[in-house]
Amino acid sequence: MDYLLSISTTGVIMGIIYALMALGLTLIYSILGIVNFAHGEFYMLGGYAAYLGLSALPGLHPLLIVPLAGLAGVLLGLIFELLFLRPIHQDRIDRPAEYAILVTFGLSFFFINLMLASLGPYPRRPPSFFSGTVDVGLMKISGDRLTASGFSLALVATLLVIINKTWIGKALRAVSQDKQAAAVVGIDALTMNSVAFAVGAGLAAVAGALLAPSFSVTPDVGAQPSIRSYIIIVLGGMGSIKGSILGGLIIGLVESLATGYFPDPTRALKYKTAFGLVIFMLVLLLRPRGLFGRKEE
Amino acid sequence: MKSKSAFNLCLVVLVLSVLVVSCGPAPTPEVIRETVVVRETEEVIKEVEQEVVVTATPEPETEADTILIGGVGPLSAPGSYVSGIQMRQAMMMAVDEINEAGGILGKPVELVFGDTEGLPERGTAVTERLITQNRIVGLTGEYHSHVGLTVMEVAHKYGVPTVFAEPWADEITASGHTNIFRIAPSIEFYSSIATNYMVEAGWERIMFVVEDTDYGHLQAEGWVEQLEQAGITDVEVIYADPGTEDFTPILQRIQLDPPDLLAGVVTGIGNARMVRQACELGLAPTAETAYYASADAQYSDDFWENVGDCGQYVFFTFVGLPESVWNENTEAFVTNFEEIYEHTPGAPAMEAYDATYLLLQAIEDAGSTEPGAVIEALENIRMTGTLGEIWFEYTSDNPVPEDEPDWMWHQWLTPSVYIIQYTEVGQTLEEANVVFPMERATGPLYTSP
Repeated sequence: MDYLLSISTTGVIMGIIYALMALGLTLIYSILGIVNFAHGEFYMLGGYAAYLGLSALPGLHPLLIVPLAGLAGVLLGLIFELLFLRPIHQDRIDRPAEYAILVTFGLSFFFINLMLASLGPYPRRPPSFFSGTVDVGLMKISGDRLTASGFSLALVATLLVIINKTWIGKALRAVSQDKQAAAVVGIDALTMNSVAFAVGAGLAAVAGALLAPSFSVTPDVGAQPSIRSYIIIVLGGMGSIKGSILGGLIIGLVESLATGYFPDPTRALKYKTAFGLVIFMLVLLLRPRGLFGRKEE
Repeated sequence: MKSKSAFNLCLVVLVLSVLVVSCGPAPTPEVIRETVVVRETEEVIKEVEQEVVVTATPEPETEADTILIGGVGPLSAPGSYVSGIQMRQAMMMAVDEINEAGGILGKPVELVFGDTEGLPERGTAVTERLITQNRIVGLTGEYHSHVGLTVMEVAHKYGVPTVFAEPWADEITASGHTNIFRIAPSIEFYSSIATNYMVEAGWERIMFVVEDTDYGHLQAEGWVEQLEQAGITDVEVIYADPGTEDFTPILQRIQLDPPDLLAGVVTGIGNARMVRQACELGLAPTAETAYYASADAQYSDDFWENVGDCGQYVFFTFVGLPESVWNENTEAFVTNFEEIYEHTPGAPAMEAYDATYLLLQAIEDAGSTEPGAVIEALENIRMTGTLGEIWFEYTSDNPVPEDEPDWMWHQWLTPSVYIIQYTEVGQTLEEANVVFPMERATGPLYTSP
């Protein structure tokens, strides 16, 4: 029982952080209608921003660098959206779907090689938020991981409130449902595109900054989180915010529980990603639009 | 709709790729056969003839103004690019030093480096390009064994003298190819050092978490076999992807019945992650469970930055000379490397540096770039490098005896392999204890928490 509790706790903690990462991707997809293939690189940049920020400001508490890293992600996302994605929505691109894939892939390669050239291939790790471990029953949880999941939970809750209760949240939802109808009531879809992409990139950067003390950061560190985020958003239903949150928790739990209980322990860790993919495929077989996906008109 | 379809297509490809990689066996070199359908028309026959000219064995450029050598290694993911980049830097350093001293055969030397990305197919393509297009006269480098095996076959096809710096697979030299030499330890030799140490330390229950690559598999297989021969049979091997972020679930499982020794043989960023996570769970290193890390722990600055206090009492295998037995070449190399690249060189850098010198020294000794002459010079070479005195015991004149393993062919038989333990937080590689082999030890066999 203690073991089950330990394994489940590990899964939930990771699931919350997965959800934060996937939420940014969902926000971008639901508003802009594109998949950001550079999402993992915003995660990576968040980690580097935390590392560089704390190197430059050694007296700063490591937790305070997280919002700054998020802000850096927001700014970068905003610049990229204005320069490269806005033309899609101004009908200046002939093949917008292909363009969006290529331009976000291009951004991904650019960021990876930029960091490789500027900071080298060596893993970097910012200082811990809180060193040491916290005892939860028989289990020890690192202070960094607990902080990261707590911060993520608070951020997800805040985001839900903003999306459901504020004008900008309603405007974002309106654009995601029907751009023309939103325009009729005075919502500028182009501005909402920028807001969504910037916030999505910022969320990925926050996730990167939160996990950097636990997992360290290298130029290619974004690959796994981004693949996992794509799985989560499809599992939860493309464009569904609650689907992303639930999807993140499911993947986190499944990965942890399956690794902990798979009959062959020698292969349990190796198949960790595959366990999540099995659930993903089962859900898609039974419910092709994902857990909370909207029906295509 | 359109963007969703395109995304779904990408996702299906992505998912299938991940599944194949996750569930498949370790990558092994494959032979690719191409079938070309040629219509018998005059026009097409001309094209085929042109192609034959392009892919034919290149003529050596006897009149070249520059001695062009090739280097291969991983500079990007999924390869171990931390080591690959250091290898290229070390090769460039060797070439620069030689050029400053007047070059080889009175000509300047140029290094053309190919990024193999840790992928066998890239290794094949890059080596083909270096040989047929760049027209290199010798080849060196490579880090990954599974890439080294494909590079070896291409180099052998064209008869290019090749000195491998880092791949460990026994098959590299066991191939018996006349143009292939290696200064890295063979996996059998490398594994035996750690095995002997584990036996000496008296650990009886051993758990290996190894990356699912040639590096992990070759070592794990070697250890299991050698430990069994030594009477230690309670050994388990768990495989992991090198990019694994979170080892916690499997470590929690291991914690249900902790072993005497937990070995985390994962390269790159995974090494530090596993050390931290095992330590944070209170699993290892502890008084009950020792911790053996991958060779990446040798990069002491990065290691401590990424593992913090958790690195204390961790030990690992190191290929190269610890400071207590440095020669003047090692001293000069480390000093210059740190000055130029602002980073401590690891063993792959030293091996790449020595391999480059060895190849160029052989060309100088041969008095020509003619492959046969260079190979003969390599068979007779004896050079003091950063890793010690290097020579090849078993050659055309002195074949491998029948009772010795085949990998001893064109293999430097006495590379330095040590077990090092960090006993204090923040120790440099030079400050850490050499704990095995015992005759070279600078500290106790094992310091327990």
